[in-house]
Amino acid sequence: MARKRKKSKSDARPAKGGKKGRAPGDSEHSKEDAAEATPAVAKKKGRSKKTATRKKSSAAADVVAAAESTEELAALGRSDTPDAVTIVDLGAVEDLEVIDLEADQGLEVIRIDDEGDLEVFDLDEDLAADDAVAALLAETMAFVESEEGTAKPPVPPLREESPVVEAEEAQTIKAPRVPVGAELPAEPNPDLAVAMSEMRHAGLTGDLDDDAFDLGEVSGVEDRDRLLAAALAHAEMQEAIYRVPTSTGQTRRWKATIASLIFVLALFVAARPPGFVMPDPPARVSGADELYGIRVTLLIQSQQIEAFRARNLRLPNSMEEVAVQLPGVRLVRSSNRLYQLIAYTRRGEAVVYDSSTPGPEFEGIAREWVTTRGGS
Amino acid sequence: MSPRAIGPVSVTTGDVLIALAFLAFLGALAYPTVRVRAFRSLVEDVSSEVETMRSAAAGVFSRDGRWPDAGAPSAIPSELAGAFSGDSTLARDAYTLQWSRWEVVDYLPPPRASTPTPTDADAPPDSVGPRLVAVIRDVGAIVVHSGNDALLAALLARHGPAVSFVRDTTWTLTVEAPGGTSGG
Repeated sequence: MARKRKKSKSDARPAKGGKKGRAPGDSEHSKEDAAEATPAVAKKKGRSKKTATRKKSSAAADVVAAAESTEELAALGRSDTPDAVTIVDLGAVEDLEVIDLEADQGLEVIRIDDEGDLEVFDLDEDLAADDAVAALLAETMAFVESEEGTAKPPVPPLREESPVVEAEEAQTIKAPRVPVGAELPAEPNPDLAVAMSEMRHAGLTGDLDDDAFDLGEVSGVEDRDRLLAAALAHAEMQEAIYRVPTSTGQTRRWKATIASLIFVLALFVAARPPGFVMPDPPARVSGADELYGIRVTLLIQSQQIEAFRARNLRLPNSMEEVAVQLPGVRLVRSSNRLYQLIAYTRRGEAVVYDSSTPGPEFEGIAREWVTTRGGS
Repeated sequence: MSPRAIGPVSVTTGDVLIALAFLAFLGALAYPTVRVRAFRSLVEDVSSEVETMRSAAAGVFSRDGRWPDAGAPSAIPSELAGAFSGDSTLARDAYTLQWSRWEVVDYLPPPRASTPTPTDADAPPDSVGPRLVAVIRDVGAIVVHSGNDALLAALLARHGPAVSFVRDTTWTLTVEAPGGTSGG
């Protein structure tokens, strides 16, 4: 369906009364051509703003027919008279006008919107298809009904510099009210059924030719049905490919049970790994290693005190006077020449080094320890 | 493309749970091995850095005749800065290195000198003998501070108790001077 937005006109002719009759056949527009013409949806190249030019109808456009319903309008469209219908009285709707705007003996539906602009719906090629006409009117009236109740703004005065539609020759017609979603008259077509079946089969098997239909050329019932069949077939194919089967309740329970069991097994293995995956346990500091380390520490610390005594010829009064202080060792002076060094194990047991009698364990270490075995 | 060529791909929540559980099971099996590998790598890293410090300290001793000055934990002594050129500290994620230096006193007999010949009863008693002479020398030590007991134990086992020992959260390695002596 073609929609052409045109500048507003302030001097739209009021609707004239309809007069039944037929216009003389002086129109160049052939009814056969109109009958064969596809709906305007396919023929028109989308919506475009068309600057209306000043036109004058070559012939005076009078109300030559009146239609008070879509059926009558469709009947008029199927008339054999090529140029029988130029203007149709479609009833009383104030903001809907039907005129022969292009002076081509065709029919246009014009609606003045709130901004005062004209919206033109070209009917000249739709007259051959009764359902297209009904659909066109239904769409138009649906928009009109959505605007029902709103205040209609006044039509702005026509500006001289703006292109306007010369409407002196046109007659305005009021359109009847058409319910929204009016059903299209259906006429079963056996050939079409076969075509639909073939199209559906082609869509299912994936052999549908991309050139089988051209959206830009769809305008007839057959083409639309063919499109619909192809779309349905494509949808069925997609569903067949990507259908996700829903698992039953029993299957879900089994899977949940299996997953839970494996999780529990994983936790058990993490807590108590089996021997075949458990490598050699890492080394630990034993009690003997700890005691040996304490004794070596006391031995080394005593060396620092002896070095202090050798330099200063006296014992240090406290550990702070010693240059090297090993951690965890306490100095206790028992006399001017004797002292003890005390350290503790992790269990709190005291290990004592007496400078007067160090003990056999310290002597043994002193014999083996690398720093003392060559010394005293 | 024919629809038959592509089969439906269906993965339910139960399948995902089973796969996750199986992955968790495999992870539990592999975790001990992964931990051991990581620990062995840590021990190798520590040993490598200890060896680097020891080599650098031995080089300083050979050049200057003395061990580098002792430093605080994680501090790099100035004489050893060349060995750790890319680092500003000796602190690592799992351990900290420290260079230390001790003194050792050796009591040695005095140099042999001419002894007077006893004449008669004026000979001094046997209890009075020559005094031992204290000789002080330095020894170097590398200290590894770590809260990982296993790491300390591994280092003790690697180097032996004759040159290293563990005390609280430290492992100490005594550095021998080139030539076998500990210093002087």
